[in-house]
Amino acid sequence: MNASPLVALVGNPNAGKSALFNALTGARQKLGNYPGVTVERKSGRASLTDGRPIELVDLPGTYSLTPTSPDEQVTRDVVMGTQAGERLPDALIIVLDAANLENHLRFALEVLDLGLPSVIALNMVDLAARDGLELDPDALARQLGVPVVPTVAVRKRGLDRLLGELTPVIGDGAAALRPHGSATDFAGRQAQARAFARAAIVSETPSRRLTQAVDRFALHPVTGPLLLLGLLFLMFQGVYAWSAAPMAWIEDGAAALGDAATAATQPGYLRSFLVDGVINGVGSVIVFLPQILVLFFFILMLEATGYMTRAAFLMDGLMAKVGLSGRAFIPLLSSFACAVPGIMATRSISDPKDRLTTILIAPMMTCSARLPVYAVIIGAFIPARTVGLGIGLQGLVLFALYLGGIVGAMAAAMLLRRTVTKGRSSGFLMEMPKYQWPRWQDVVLGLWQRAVIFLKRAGTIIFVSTILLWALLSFPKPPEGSNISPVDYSAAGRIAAGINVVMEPIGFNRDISLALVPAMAAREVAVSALATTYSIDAGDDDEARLERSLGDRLKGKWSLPTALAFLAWFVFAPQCISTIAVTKRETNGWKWPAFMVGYLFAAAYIAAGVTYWTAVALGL
Amino acid sequence: MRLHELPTAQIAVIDKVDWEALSPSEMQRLREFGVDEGMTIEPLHRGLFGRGALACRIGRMTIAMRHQHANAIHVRVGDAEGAERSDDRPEDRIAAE
Repeated sequence: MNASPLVALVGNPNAGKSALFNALTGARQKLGNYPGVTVERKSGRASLTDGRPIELVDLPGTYSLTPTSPDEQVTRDVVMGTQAGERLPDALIIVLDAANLENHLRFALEVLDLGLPSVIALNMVDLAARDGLELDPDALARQLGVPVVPTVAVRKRGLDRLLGELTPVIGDGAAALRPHGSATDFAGRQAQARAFARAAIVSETPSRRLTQAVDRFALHPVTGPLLLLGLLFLMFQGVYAWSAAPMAWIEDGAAALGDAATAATQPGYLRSFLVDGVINGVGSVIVFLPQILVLFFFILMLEATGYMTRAAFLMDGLMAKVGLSGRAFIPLLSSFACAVPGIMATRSISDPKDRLTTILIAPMMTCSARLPVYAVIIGAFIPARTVGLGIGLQGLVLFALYLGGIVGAMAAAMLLRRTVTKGRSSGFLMEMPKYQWPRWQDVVLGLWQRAVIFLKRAGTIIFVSTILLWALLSFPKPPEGSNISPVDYSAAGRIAAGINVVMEPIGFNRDISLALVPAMAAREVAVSALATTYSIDAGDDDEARLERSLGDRLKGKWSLPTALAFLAWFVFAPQCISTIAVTKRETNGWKWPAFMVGYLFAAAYIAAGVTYWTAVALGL
Repeated sequence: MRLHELPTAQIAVIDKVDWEALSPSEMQRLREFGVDEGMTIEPLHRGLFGRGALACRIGRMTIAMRHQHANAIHVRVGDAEGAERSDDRPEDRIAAE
């Protein structure tokens, strides 16, 4: 017996496929990539009722086996057994939305024609009932000739029966495609699907349609945009308000660890390495985990509830004006969490030029890696007071920075669409799913996966660049008795002095120039780099250095115009190796990432310069 | 009458679709959404900013499209009963209003 049987989940978008996948596999999931393409491969393990383990793979949702995007291509290739790096599934679980039966049945009929052993999960039967729809799964099973199991993935209902029906269907795992497939065409399947759906509907009574009622408010020309703006504003205020306590715990923990390390070591390189390099550097980034999780919480909730597509709908008119489609709004909003998944999410945009433009502007959306940078500077330079109505000034500045990124991105899109990505504006066609309250376990799982990714980054990229920077900052040491600061004398200080020639006109000092170099690895490294620099600069004898936060140190060293210029720089600067790498992968070459890095650096330089000169002129 | 001329919450039957006015992928996606001659369709919401998107109910789905797509869809009002859809009952229309 070789590998355990492979079972693929297929279905239309919004059929509740991913919820079913999560319910079947729990936390036993593995995220990867299909070789050669950037489509995410999500797999997990489950057990059949006879105890045999199976590997489940969650395929991208699609409306038919005629693909219009790379995502849909993968689904087609996997179920046809032609996807590189994936064997032909031993069985399929076809997921249908019970409340949208006739539409989803057409795709099910197309998939069933392939001849692979299949079970149908008639999902979200509870929502169908809420809409007054009663179905007969057995009638459907008789017509389709395969088992049909009613499920409610988010409540874990029907899962045992689904696995029970799957067990005999898999058999000994000798699946093969039907040699010819059927001759039924699209229209034929459509008609058949409608007939089957009609026969399976037992009763249909009008009832309150929750989704339509909510949409009357959420898509209203006046209340709709207000709700969207309100949600975004709540999101950014929440990032500060909800994360204050856990951030204080992490800070206290790091300080205690630093004290313990100081007590346990002799003054010298080891202590400096541990306290200044590792604990101070990495700790100053990990402290932002709560804020990043709050941000991801909002993004996950907006996606899972179905609101995200409403936001896309509301924004389409505006996006059309800059030559994009409302569809671009979803990758762009995801880019607020991180540009990497945002850029990957552009795969759902079928028009190549539309997609390229979205990729090129995605890094301007304020990602969570900028939060540590913004948070430190805002915390240090913007007073924590309210401007009335309970609105915090710090949150307001943060909101303005996010807005700055959005406005910059829209301006860039308009410019790009008229020059390098010129072409006919593509359309906007999208299904708007029913509203749904997400299962909290799914949200927790999503947050957990994001936390692991962030901590892995902190443990690898950020750890390594922090240590490298510590080494560059610590050597060579100034001669005994000299009054040159250790940082000025170090290798890193000399490199920074070189860069500073270019950066000085826009108000940057040597320490900023120094932080910008390792921050190419990841933006948040700028914070740990500043923490390490000022920690070393404070000297080994400064007993009180652990007591003083990075913010306090910055306040003593930077002017307000410099701090504002630094913020403006980070609105645009493309400082993230992962983003550049994913852009290269998604655009198949170095041409576009090089262009992106070039134009964003230019924009960052100009924005920082204008901010600095204006602030100085205003006497700030 | 074109779909984009249809007032919001007015149910109509799709008479004809100018498929040739659409790109192959747009045509495919619309057909996958169930847009077809004889189906009933109801504009629900209009987007913002001038000629924004149009949200319609077709079958049990809500779909969003642009002006150019709605312009390719010809509809007629008045004989929604003659449509082949089963969920076009009078009470349904009341619920939608």
